[in-house]
Amino acid sequence: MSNFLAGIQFPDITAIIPEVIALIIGCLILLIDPFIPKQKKRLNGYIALFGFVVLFFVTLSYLGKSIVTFFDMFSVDNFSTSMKLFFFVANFVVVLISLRYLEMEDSNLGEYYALLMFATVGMMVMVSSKDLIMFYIGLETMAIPLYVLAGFIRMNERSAESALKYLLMGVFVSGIFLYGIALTYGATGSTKLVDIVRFTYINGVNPILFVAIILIACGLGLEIAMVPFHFWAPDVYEGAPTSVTAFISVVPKVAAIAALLRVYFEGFTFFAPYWQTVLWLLSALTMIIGNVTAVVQDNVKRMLAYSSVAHAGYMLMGILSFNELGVSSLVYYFFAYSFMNIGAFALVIYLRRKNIVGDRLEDFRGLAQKDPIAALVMVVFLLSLAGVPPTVGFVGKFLIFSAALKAGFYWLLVIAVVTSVISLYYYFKIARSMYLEEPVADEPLLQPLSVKIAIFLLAILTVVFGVYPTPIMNLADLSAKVFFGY
Amino acid sequence: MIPVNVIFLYSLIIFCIGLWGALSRRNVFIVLMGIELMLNAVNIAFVGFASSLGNIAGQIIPIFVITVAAGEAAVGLAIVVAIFRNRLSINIDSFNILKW
Repeated sequence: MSNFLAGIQFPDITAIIPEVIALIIGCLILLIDPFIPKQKKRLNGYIALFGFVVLFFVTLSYLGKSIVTFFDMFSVDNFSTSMKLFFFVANFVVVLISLRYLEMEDSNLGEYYALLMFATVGMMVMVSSKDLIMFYIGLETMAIPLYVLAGFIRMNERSAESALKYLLMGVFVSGIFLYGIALTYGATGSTKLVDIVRFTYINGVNPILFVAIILIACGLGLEIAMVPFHFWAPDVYEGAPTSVTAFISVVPKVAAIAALLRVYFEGFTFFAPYWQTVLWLLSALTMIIGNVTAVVQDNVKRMLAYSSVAHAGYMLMGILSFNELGVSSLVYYFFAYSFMNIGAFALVIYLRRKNIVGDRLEDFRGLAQKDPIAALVMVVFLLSLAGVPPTVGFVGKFLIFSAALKAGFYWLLVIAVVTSVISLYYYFKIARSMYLEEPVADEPLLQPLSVKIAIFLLAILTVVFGVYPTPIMNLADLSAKVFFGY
Repeated sequence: MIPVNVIFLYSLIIFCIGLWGALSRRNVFIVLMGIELMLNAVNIAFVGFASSLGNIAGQIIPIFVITVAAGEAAVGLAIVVAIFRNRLSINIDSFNILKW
């Protein structure tokens, strides 16, 4: 027995403390939920809010540490730590906008927050892992709760249909992703990124790995919603509960992009020119199709879905630049994107009232007269999404574009700038509807307090970090040094 | 001993059958079965590679895959039940409320 264990190093458990805490909070919510009376179900949400604050500060203490443990499968570095901090900030806001929304939809159950917590655990594993199988486990731990969340209002046929579409696409693509992993394993003899990079350094480039790289991009591309796999996005975003849409459109997308970045940078380093070409094509297509299709939409959730597809294209530019500025601008863009996109969906929730989902363009009609402050805040988010100066969206786009410029992708840059101009049109369709059209007399706005807090918080962050981006920039620079610092 | 090329070819064929089934069939259950076939093709590939490389890791990975597939199937069937109550149909073509 002692001989058997002699060569095995005991893993450093301290590296996974945030994951364990998140898991415990999720289980705790499930356990105490049955004992909470039906009118006080909000308590679950408060526990989740408190949990994300605790997790934020616990994870903050990991900043600057660098631990690689569990047999080179799990790594705590500045990149993964800042990604986790991002998840907690974004999830905090998502819970805030969910509190009242779920009551309005009459499905205020504790499972919602538990599933959110479990999905978060999956994403935390995804950004920390250094092994393809760990990526897969993290991806599925994230995806299975997401399928359930998309169909959370199960008596609503739109919600159920969106869940089924999401599930079928997700499971199908995860099969393709796994085949990519199997090919990598067959070609290199390991699923660890360290071993893959070592093998390709010694033995040169293996043609099977070219196929594997594409299959892995496909598998993660579903959550990113990049072009050949974007068909689910508008349907699911429209049908799912709006708070879940806000979550799906931001957090899993960011987790998948961070995972793709790590796989390509650390595992397939020597294939850089090849995957840069693949991503060039995908990014260009994603930007064009996302922005052009968004123009003809008249459902705001659907329009924002296509806009989030387009934003995925901009984010892919950060990966394919393959330089330090690319990674730091990408991390900055993640934060920027979460503020403005969750904000825009929060406004849709703000408009939710009796019999009105708030996602049609007509629901925004004359909002400037009914609620001038909400209309102004929506304009801030739209300006930021379009990338107009005093906002985070501008700084993020500027950084990503300059990273692509530095790497010499001029034509991609041209496509990105042109499609950004197109995006102004459909964002301002909403603004025009709010300011230039007369309001329709219907149900009064409910103006729930928790949603109000979330919207103002996000609007303030959108403007403040647009004018003074240094705090997030510092974090982004720290995380970029993980890949290019040495 | 069966050469690894044959095992790989076998898994590729199974994978393509699963892919074709998942893409062409209109019944949700058949689609899910096609996807399961894809996952099983992956398991065959892993085990085949593991035995040819003499590396134990590839034989453990299918256990993870099977576990995840079971979770996916459980959630998937629950969602199919939920949508069947609304629509009284399991044909994919009838799920067409959400489209542009």
